[in-house]
Formats: sequence, structure tokens, C-alpha cells
Amino acid sequence: MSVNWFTVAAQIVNFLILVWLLKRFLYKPVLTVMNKRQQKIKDELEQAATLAKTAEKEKKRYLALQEEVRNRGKEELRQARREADALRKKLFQEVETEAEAAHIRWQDELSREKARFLKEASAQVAGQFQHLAQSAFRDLADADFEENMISHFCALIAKHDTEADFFRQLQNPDKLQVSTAFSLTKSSQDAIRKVLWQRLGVQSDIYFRHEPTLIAGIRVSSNDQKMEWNIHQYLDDFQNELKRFLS
Amino acid sequence: MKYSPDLYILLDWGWGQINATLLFTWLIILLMAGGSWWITRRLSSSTTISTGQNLLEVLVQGMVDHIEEITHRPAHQFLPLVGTLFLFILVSNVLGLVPFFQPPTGSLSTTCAFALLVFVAVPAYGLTTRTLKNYLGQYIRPTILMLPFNILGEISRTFALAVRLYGNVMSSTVIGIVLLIITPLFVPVIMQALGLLTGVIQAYIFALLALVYIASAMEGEKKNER
Repeated sequence: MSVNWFTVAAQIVNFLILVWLLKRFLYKPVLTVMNKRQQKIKDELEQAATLAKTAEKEKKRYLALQEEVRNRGKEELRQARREADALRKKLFQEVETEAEAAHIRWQDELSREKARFLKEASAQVAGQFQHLAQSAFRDLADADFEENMISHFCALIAKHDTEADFFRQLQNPDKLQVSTAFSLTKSSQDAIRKVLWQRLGVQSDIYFRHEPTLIAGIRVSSNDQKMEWNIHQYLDDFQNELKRFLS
Repeated sequence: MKYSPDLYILLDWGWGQINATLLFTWLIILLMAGGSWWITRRLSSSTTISTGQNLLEVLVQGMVDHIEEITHRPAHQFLPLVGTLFLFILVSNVLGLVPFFQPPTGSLSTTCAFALLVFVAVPAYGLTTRTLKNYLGQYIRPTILMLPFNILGEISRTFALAVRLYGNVMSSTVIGIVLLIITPLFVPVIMQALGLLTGVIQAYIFALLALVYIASAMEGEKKNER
């Protein structure tokens, strides 16, 4: 167990060289690269933290935006529903109005159609009936029938006041024309003349005229004024009654 | 049987000799420096690194953490000295398992050289944080009567540092040789394994004690507290 001082000195030098070599090739490069990596990781962590903050902000912003969009959507939906309701009511009202108008038009049309139909029907019925009655009266009428009719007419003129206006308003009472469906006998003409004279209070000129269209009855006329009693009047009354009933 | 590599003389100039200690020391230096250069020539600061780089980073970072844990100071000022001491002794002791390899740490000259380096490094590091007066004052505390004891303690701990390492490594080598002679099969293998463990522990102890001595020398009144 001895110490070789030359070896000691050499080992000291060797060790110092080794220290320099390891410092140059081991400690420095390894520590540098580790520090660099540490710095890189630190930077990346800071960057990640910054990104996380940014992402959090963006997330909040997007959530707020999403909420806003949702609210806006709801509001727009409500608005659309309100508008749709209003439009529906408006359209419904328009349809109702239109339907009502159409109904009114239809009712008017129906009324007109009904009136036209009734008019035509009543006219047809009345015309047919009149034609039938005229034919019947024409077939049945004879001289006795005519005499009876004239008697009745004379009685009407003498007793009844319904025709008073006609005689009061006659402009030309001096000249009268009496029309009948059959030719009157002399006695019948005298009876008529007598009654008219009594009614007028003057002996006016009275002319008798045979007019087949009257069928039965008698007409007294002067210029445009006339008074008559014949089957036509009854038929007209019947026709009016029939129209009134059908309507 | 030569129990020290110093005894294997390769060249002799009279005033100096090239022995196995120096030869294997140079081999270790070549191996460590060359290996470090080989691995660190393509270092990457990314997260994907080679196995060699990973090994070196673990090694260096482990030493840095340990130094900072013990000294509570930045490791960069201690790492070259203490780290190199640890690595050299470790490699030397581990390579002792290789047949015909004579670990330089089995030489008292080598351990003395390292102990002397620590002996010089302790006041050198201490004076970086303390004044000369303050540093020298520690030898006369608590009384001047303690001066010889403190100086003796300083020398003896340096001597102990050298002898402890030398004794362990040398004894491991000697035991291996003796056992190889007595029971050449399995027992030497077991003792070699134990020697490996002892070698690693001794490397750690040497570096740790050196660090503790240096760190304790740096404690005390700070320069800026004068």
C-alpha cells in the first residue's frame, strides 16, 4: 500500500481533463437541450393556456350567440305565428265575406229566379186559366146571358158609387160609346141609355158597338176615359190573387 | 498477486512510470468522453429522443436533482466536479467486472488524487460564498484550542475519503482473486456481484461526501453580510 506521487499528479491532470471533456460533451449539451425542451414545453403550456382562455372566451361567445339566435328564433316564430293567425283570420274573414256575398248573390239570384219563375208560372197559369175561361165563357155566352149581364151592369151603374168618379170626371159626357161582345137588342140598348142618362143627368149621345174581344161584359168609354164590367176584370183579379198566393 | 494497478508498470522513465492505473484511466476517459460525444452529437429538444439521449438525460437530471436537494443551491457549479467524480468512480468500479480490467479506483494513488482534489475544492468553493477570515475562522471555533483538532479533522477526513474508496475497491478485487483461487466456480461470481454493488455504493458515497464537505464549507457568514 504505497502512493505513487507521479500517478497522483497524473490522475489529477487526467481527472481535470475528464471534467473538461464531460462538461464539454455531456453536461453542457444535455442541460442545454433539457432547458430548451423545458422552455419549449413551458411555452407550449403557456400557449395552450392562452388558447384555452381564447377557446373559453369563444365558447362563451358562441353560447351567447346560440342563445341569442335561439331567442331570436323563438321571437320570429312567435311573430310568424301572430302574422299567420292574423292572415288566417283575415283570409277567413275574406272567405266569410265572400261566401256571404256569394250567398247574398245566390239568394238574390234565387229570389230573382223564383220571382221570374213565379211570374212566368203565374202568368202561364193565369193565361191558361184566362184562355180556358174565355173559351168557356165564349162557348157558354148567349143572348140571355148577355141580357142578364146588361141588367146587372145597369144595376151597378144605378146603385153602386164605385164608379162615381168616372161619371164626375167625364170630359165629354155628351158623347159616349157602349161596347159589348154581342149585338144588343133594342130594349137592352134603351135600358142602358136610360140608366146612363139618369146617372149623367144629361141625354148624351150614346153609340153601341159590337166588340167580340170582350167575351162577356160591357164597356162605356168617352175619348180616353172608360168604365167597364166584363169577364176580363174577374180574370185579372183572379190572376193577381194567384200571383199573391204563389209568391 | 498484484492488488494494485500501480504495480503493473508499462513504461518507466525513472522520474515517472506509465502503469495500469493511468492506462485504464485513459481508457475510461476515452470511453466516457467518446460515448458522451457520440450520444450528444445529435441531441434533440423534441419529446421524441434516442435511448442514449434518454439515458444521459436521466443520469444528468438525477445528479442535478440530488445535488440541489443536498446543497439547496443551483447544481451547475457543483455538477462538473461532483458529477465527474461519481461517474468516473462508478464506471471504473463497474468495469472492474471485466476480466483483466484493473479499476483505477483500486489504486491508492487515484483515490488520493481525488481526495486531494476534494481537499482543494472545499476551501475553493467555500471562498466563493465566504470571506477568507470567516472561512479560516471556523478552525478556531469555538476556541483556538480546537485549531489543531480541526486541521487534523480536515486532513483525516480527506485521508478517510481516499482510503475508504481504495479499501473497498481493492478488497473487492483481492477477495475476487482469492476466491477464484479457492473456489473457482460460483462463489467468485456472487462476490463479483457484491463487488459491483459495493462499487456503485462507494461511488455514491465518495461523491456525496465530497458534496457535503463542499456544501458545508459554503455555509456560514455570506460575503455580502460582511
